[in-house]
Amino acid sequence: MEVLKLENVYKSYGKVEAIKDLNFSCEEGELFVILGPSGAGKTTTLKMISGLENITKGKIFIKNKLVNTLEPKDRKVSMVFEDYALYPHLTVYKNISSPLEVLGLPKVEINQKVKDIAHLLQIEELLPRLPSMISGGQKQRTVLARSLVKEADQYLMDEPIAHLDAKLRYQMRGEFKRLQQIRKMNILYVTHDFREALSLGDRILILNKGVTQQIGTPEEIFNRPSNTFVASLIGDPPMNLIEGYLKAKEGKYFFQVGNASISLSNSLANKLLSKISQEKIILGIRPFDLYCYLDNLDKAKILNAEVYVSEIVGHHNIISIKLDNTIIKVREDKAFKVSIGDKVSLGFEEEKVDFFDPVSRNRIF
Amino acid sequence: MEKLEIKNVYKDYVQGSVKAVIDLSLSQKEGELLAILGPSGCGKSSTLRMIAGIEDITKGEIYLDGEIINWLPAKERNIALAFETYALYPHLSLFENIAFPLRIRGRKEREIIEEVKKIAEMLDLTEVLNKLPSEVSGGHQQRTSLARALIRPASLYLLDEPLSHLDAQQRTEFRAQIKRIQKMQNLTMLFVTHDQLEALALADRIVIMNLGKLQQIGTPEEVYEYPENLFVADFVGEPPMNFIKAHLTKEKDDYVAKLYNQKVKIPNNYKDSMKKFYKGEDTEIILGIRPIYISICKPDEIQSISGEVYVFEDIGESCILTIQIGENIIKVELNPGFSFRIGERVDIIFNLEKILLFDPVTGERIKAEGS
Repeated sequence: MEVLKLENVYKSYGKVEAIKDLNFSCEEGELFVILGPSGAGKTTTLKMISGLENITKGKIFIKNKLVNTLEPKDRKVSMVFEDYALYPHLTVYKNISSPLEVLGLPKVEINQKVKDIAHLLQIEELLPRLPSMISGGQKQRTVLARSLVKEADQYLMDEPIAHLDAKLRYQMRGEFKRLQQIRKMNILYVTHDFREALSLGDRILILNKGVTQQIGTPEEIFNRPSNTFVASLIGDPPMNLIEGYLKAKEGKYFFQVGNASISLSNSLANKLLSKISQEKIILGIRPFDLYCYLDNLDKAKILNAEVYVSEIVGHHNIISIKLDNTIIKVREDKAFKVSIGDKVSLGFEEEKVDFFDPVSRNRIF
Repeated sequence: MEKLEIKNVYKDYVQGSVKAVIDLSLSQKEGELLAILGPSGCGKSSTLRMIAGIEDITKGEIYLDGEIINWLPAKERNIALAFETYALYPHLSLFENIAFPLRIRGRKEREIIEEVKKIAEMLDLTEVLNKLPSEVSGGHQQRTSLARALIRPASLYLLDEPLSHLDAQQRTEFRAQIKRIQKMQNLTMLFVTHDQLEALALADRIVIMNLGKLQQIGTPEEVYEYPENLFVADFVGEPPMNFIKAHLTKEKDDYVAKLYNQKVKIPNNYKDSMKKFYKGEDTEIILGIRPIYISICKPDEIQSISGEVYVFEDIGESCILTIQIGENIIKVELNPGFSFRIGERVDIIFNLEKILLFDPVTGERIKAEGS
C-alpha cells in the first residue's frame, strides 16, 4: 500500500524553480532514499511533505488523503533534522518523552514507549543522563529515538548521520539498517552520501537541481545508471566517463579517444551501432572493473597508457591513467605498484561497460 | 638532506593552561610530502602556524634549511602558504590573486602571464582566471589559493586542509593533481588534514597527533598495517579496524585468545612478547583486525569462529557484513556478490598474519618478534 505519494509537485522561490514535476510514492514498510548533491532540492521536498513549506503546484497524499492544505501537526509525519537539538537541561529520558508529553499520553504509556525505543537503540542505560554526559553517537541515537517514539504514518529524515565522524557513521549506518529491517518503518531518508543510499534504501530517487534523474533499487542505480549524472554520483572513485568515437579499421572496431584507442569486440560494436546514429559516444566503466597490466597481454584492450599518478589508499591502489587528454581511474590491489610515467595496459570485461549519449547524457545500454 | 626540523617544540595558550603541542620532534627531507593528521584539537594547526611564523613557539626549535627560524618574521621565511580559508583578495581577479607573489617580487609581465597560465592549467583554473573570487565556487577558490602558493619557488610549501571545501568527486581529482605536481617538481610539501584517506593517498610519510602529542610517524603502509597504538589503529583506515576484547590463556605451549565462547590461537611469532605480557589466566588483551582481513569460511575450518549476522550492507563496490559474537560486533569487508540475512549463522576466519595485539591498559601495540 502507498503511504506517501507526490504527484506533479513543483516548488518555486520567485523565479527559481527548486523542484520540477516531482513524482514518487513510498510503500508501507519501505525505506525510500532521496540522493543528490547540495542544492538538489532534497530538504525542500521533505519540508513540503511535512508542511513546513507550501507547494507551488501538485498534490501530496499521505495514506490516500490529500494533505496540501493540512497544518504540519495534522499530517502524522515525524521529522529528524541533521543538527541534533537536544534540550541540554533535560535527561535523555525527558528528551525522548517530550513529544509524547505534548500529546498528553498517560504516564504509564509514555514510560513503556520510551523504554521500548531506548531498548531498540541500545541507550537504556543512558536514560537518566544529561546530553552533555553522552557521546556524539549516543546523542544521535537519542535524536533518532525521540523521532521514532512518536507514532507517525511517515518518518522523514534529513541527513540524520551526515555530521558524525567517519567511524561513527559506519557504525550508525549499520545500526540503522538493522533497526529498519526489524521494524519495517515508513521512512523517507535524504542524503548526499551514495554509500548510505545504497546500504539503506529499498529504493532510491536521484535528484539534481530539482529534477528526478532515476528511481530504482540500489542494484539498478549502481548497475544501470540512467544517465551520466547518476553514473558519476555513485562510487568512489565514481565511474569513468570517456568521450570518444566508435570507429572501424580493417574489419575491427575500436573506440577512439584522441590519439588513444580502446578495442571493442564486433558483437559489442554491432549492438552499439544498432542503437546509435552518430559516431560520438561516452563509454562508462567503473574503476574496479578495470584491470591494469604491466606488459601488453592479449587480454588488454587499452595499450601503452601512461600512469599519471598512483595513490595507495588503505588496501587499494587508485591509479590515474592518462588516455590522451582524459584521466581515467583504476582501482587495483595495493600490492600492485606503479610510478608516474610507467606504461601500462588495461583490460575489462565488456559486459561491465555502459554507453551514454554525449548530447542527451542518457544511457544507451 | 633535512629541509625542516622541529626539535622538542611546545605550544601553550592562556599562560600555559592549554597545552596545544607537547614536545613535538620531527624532520622532513627535501622533496618529501609530509602530512600531519589528527582530529580537531590535536595540535596540527598550531604546528603549521608555528612553522609558518604566524604563532610564537613556547619552547623548542624549528630549523629550515639548517638555520634556526624561531625568531624570523613570517614574511622572511622562505615558506609558501595555502590556507583553508583561502584569504584571497576579493577585489582582484583570480589571475591577479595568483600573480600577486610574482608582482611583489617585481617579475616581468610576460613571465608573470606565462607562469600563471602554467599553474592555472595544472589546477584546472584556466577558464575562470578573469573572474573575481566571489563569482566562483569554493572549490575554485581553494585551488586558486593553492595556485598562489605554488607559483613561487619556496623551501617549503605549507597547505592547511587543502581539500576540505571540495565535494567528494572534486576531492579525488584534486588530490591526484596535488600529488602529481609535488612529485614532478620535487617540492617539499607539508599539509595538515583531519581526513585519514587524504593523508594515506597523498603523503610519503604521515605524522599522527592527538591531544598535542605525537602518536606515530611513518609511511602510509606503516601506519595502516602497523599502528603503534589503539589511537592510530582506530583513526586510520575505513571501514575502521575491529577491536575485540579477549582473554589470554595458555594451552600447552600456545597462547590463545578467548572471545565469548571461542578461541583464536595467537601466532607463534608472538611467543616471546606474550610470555612477557601474560599475567596469568584471563589476562585481558585486545585483538585488532581490519575488516578486509577477515573472510567467510566453512564451519569446520581450523581457527574459524562463528557468529550471527547483525546486519548486511551491499554498497556496490563492496559489501559490509556486521557479525555479532557475544558482545563483540565485528565488521567484515567483502567483494560484491554476497548476500546475508539478519540472524543467520556465519563462520569467519581472521588472516592471522594481519592480526594486531594491543595492551588494553596502555593502549600500545604488542609487537611480534622481529617486527
